[in-house]
Amino acid sequence: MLIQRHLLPRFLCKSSLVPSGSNITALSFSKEAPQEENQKPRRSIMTNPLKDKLQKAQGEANVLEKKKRSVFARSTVPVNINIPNPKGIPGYDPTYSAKELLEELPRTIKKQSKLVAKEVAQMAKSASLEKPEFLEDIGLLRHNEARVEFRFDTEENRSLWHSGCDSDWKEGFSTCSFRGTDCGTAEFSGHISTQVVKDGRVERAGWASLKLEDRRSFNRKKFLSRWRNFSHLLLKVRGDGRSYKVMLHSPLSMDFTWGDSFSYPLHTHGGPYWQYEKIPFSKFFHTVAGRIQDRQYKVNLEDCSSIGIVLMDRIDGDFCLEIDYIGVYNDTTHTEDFAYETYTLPLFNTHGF
Amino acid sequence: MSKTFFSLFRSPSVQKGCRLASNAAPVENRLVHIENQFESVPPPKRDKDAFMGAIAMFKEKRGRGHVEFINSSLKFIKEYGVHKDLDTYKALLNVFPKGKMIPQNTFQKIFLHYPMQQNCCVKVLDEMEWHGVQPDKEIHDIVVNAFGEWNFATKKIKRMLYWMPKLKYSNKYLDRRTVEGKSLSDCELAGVALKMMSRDPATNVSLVKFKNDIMANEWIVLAQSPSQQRLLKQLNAGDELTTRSAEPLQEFVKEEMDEDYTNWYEDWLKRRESSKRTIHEQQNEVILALGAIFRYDNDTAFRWVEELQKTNKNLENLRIRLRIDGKSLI
Repeated sequence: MLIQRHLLPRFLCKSSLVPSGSNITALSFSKEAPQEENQKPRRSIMTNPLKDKLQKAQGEANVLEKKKRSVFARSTVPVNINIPNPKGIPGYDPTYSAKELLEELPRTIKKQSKLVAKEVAQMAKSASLEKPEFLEDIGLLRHNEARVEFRFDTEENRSLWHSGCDSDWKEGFSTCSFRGTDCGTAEFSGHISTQVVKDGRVERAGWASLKLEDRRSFNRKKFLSRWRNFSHLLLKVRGDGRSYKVMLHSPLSMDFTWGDSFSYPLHTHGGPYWQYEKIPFSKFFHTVAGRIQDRQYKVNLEDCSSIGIVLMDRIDGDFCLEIDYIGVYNDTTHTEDFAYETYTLPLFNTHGF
Repeated sequence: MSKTFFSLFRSPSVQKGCRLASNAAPVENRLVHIENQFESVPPPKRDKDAFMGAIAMFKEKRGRGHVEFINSSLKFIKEYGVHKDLDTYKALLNVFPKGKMIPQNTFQKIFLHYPMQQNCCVKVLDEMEWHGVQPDKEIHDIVVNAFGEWNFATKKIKRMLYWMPKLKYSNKYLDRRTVEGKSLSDCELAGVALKMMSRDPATNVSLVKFKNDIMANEWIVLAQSPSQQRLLKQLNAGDELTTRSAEPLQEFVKEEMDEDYTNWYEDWLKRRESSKRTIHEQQNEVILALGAIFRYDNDTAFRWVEELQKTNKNLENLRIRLRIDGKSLI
């Protein structure tokens, strides 16, 4: 029998509610499977290396260039007509020398040929007269049917997911990590710090994010179009009581779609129980760079190529989200098409015309 | 953000709790940096009244420098502890003069009329949104009176009024009214947290307070449901707990479309058996009890186990391993 510490729901740790250093601890009392007996304490206190580095830095500050305001320059406000590049980062220009490219070539060839082989094998396997996609389209998906798309049990599965936080961009002091656990799940954990870097450029800080980077061979996009006939997004997670956000990214080739994403909060209850979070696709609202847009429309899953889980709940402290799988779920009783009003906007609106 | 505003204004003659540096000019005529207004208040006196006093004083004296005043007061909003208070934001936005900045012709409507003021207003509203303060109709009217019905700053408050109430109660696990704007004690918060965590609706949450001369505030919160007690009772004495793990929970069983009904009775029995599984029997563990303790160490956790033993007699026969501050205690 094992007593293990679980992170408290984070609303408790707001400075106004509990004095810092308060020792409330939530305990769960459980009987565990044998393989977990020797595992290390899972949640450890994170140190903040960047902060130390900044404090120690002498002379020139270790910060990025201050943003300039000009009449003719691109505005820094993230709206869909204003995305600098598909990455969404002003001045993003990864340049490689020929030497670097040649060095990288064998690894790329190996990776790409592996992907091609996998795709050919898949194609050969799925060659049949039965057209499952067509059958789904004409409504043969059953009520309560679920399909698990992403698992996190192997290193290969986990490598599709990239994590990042503001300190990676020199824009804050948060840290995050994404790693597997002993029970075949993955843990997205770290520390959120809302402290702003004093460089006159960054206005808000304290975020961490996890994003799917799954592509077909030759860097072609992989769309989540097989999800289109399902009604709900299904996540099996175990959180810490914080509210995360799920984002379905749908950038296409035109520049005004580069920032498109559809979001909905993912609330967790914390504690040792797993939660099966079913979020209807009809409830996702349209955001660009995290900002809710005036003109709303339903998420089109045929255009979605990535999914992400982000945390920016403005509360300092550790966070931890354990994920078992991500998939889709079909509820035939869910007939709602789109949960928000779709007003007809005047001709002169923020989107232009 | 880090821009310093060097606008100066005449310090008013009466200042509440402010101590001014000596200067050659008479007190009421000296020029004082805007931030002095907030900095000069000693930290223990920094509260809502002092903040509102500063705003009232500014409004009384000046017809200009609104943007500078609001920018510098936003810097101090957290220090004065008013960042979650709607009245403060209303008072701040009321600083803007009414009517003067409403666009009168089409060109003014198309282009950002009074850009500094509008951007400043958006900044105040953004700060409000960041701290999770819910806007109301009055704050919308304040902005409309200052900037007009469909100006850029007004659009911001309209968006906030539309979206924030929509997503306000989206969290089904926590009713925010139980914690918002209330000063709950540690054990009350622990109770709220345990109710949020325990997914069994039959869970009893109980508070045990220790009467102790040295430490007055010692408490333990227990959360256990009858089905968890039943699960605990079923464990055998001196149970080799590592050997009896729960079967992996199959939430969504993969169904094959076969028409073989020869084993229908066994299948039916199996299905009946699997539906009996309680919520506490999770994938890799069986959760038998939850709790919260006032201090984070093995001794306190052991007291929690002792409290649990009063209701669960079987716990005496089991081997319990505490692993809280790194060292294990059998």
